[in-house]
Amino acid sequence: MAQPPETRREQITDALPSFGIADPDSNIAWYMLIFPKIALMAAVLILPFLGSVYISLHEWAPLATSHPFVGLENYARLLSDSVFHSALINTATYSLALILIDVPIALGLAILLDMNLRGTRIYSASIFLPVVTSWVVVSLIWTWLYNPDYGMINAFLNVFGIAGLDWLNSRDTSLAAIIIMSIWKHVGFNMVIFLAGLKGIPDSYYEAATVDGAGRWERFRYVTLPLLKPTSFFVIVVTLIFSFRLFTQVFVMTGGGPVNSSISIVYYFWQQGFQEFNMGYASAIAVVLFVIVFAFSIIQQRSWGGDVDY
Amino acid sequence: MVTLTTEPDNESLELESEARVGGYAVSKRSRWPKIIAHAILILSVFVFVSPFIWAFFTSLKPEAEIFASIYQIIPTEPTFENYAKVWVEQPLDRWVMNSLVISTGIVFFTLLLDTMAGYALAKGRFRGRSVTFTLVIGTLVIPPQVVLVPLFIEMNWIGWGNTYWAIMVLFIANPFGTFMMRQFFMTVPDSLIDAARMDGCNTFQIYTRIMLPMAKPALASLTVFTFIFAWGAFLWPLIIINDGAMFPLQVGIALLTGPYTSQWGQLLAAAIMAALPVLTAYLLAQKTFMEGIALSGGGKGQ
Repeated sequence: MAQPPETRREQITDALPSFGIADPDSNIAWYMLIFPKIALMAAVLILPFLGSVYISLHEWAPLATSHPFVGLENYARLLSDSVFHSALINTATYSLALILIDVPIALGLAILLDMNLRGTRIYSASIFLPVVTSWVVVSLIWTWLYNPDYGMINAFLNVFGIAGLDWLNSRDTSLAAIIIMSIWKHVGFNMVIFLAGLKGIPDSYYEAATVDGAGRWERFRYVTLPLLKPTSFFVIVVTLIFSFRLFTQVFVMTGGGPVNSSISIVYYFWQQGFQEFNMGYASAIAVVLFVIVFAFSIIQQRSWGGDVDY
Repeated sequence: MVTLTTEPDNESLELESEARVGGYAVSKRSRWPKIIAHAILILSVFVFVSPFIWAFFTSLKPEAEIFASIYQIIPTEPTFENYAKVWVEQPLDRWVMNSLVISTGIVFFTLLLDTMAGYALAKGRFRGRSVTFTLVIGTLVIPPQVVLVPLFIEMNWIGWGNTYWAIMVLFIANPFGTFMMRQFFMTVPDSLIDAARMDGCNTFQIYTRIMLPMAKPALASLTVFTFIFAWGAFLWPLIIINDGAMFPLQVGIALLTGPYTSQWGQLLAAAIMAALPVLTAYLLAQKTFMEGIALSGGGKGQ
């Protein structure tokens, strides 16, 4: 939001003569400053990214002496691979559930915390606690919570006379169990971003609305929501992008099972690439993942559009 | 990004205006929303905190008591024997050290390289600057998972399999910090740099004497954000490390689920020990943590 004046300033300084105070070695100095990062990015991200595309066109076993070129065969195989279809559907379901449940809860909690009630610090600190805990730890704790015989969740349900579920060991509930736990872990992250967005709305807007006779609901509907649009859009796209990386919870809690009912794209990629050592096939999965995430990123770039000034 | 430093003022302003508005506009009805809000928030605290407490209580129970009654939540005779057992049986100390070395290294090199590159991209006047920046933005959209197969081959080829470096490079290369620091340095006025140049500072001296000191709040955010990610790193270390002594903590305890299938007391004891360093840091510097996430995660959206 604060970008336009900045851009203008940059254009102005660009247009000004440099007054001859730039030191003679400045160009080299700038290259020296930027070189380490760019070199590392090239070696670790850009070249391997191109490598992924290359390997995906080959049959690639790590210890084989030759890696025969197979064209698009790996991609063709993906089209008819039912495990990959499960992975795709599960990941999309996970992603959609996060958008539809996690994001609204995060917004709701942020609004409550923005009321500046007494104890807000304790409230926000508690909700944020799972965010700073690692996925592995949280997955372990929840595997125990989901334990069908000794877990707290079934115990809790039993108190209300509801029969417990076989959460992680049943095809019907394994993905849902992972989704519930992931929302619990992740909602504080989005909440904090929403909270920063809410704090960014000037009080004068609310005061003006109150003077005009707007009640709590009207102020929310006609001031908060419209002004929170960019933040909401950002939160949704980032949640989408991150949700497609689903892996750790699946690894720790279900191993993709039972019968692939909770397998994710990245889990299948890891299985193919580093368990079965079908690296060509795994790379094809990786490239598909890239295409999906790239599509979301394009939407995101569009949304901030003017924000990123080149 | 600078907005957050002025936030306390905003907050106090808001408090005043809330009170004033509440004072004469909606005097009696305004109590209920607050009570409902408190109720929802207290329930939330329970939902978000109780799993940790319950896991902690379970870890304090002897094996037999864990499977005795699920309604006996508080351990009758709390004991740290699970902690002692798993600590002796598993190289947890080694894994903690691995994680500390790796995370600290990632944070250090991320801060160093990203401030250097961010400074050059924000204030540098050199040929190829805009191309380089486009490259940084372009690399941002590559999910790290996509590069893992070739990176695995590359790391083993240069003989870095099973090393700290192999884990660290993937995270240090992440272009996000460069982007974030560049956005921050854009807000530093050019007049400051020009003045320093007039006083005879060269490009590097401006970096160490002006840019770095000014960037303290942004560096704190980037540190927290990077540390949480580095500490929680899982997939890449799982792939590139196959020597148990080199495991970071997360990989180590995740793989305990195999041998410890039903020893939940010890498993949870290990999980709690794994969570302690970051949780302690969080409880000590809660504000920095939340601002770090808000700035790093949400800064781009504002």
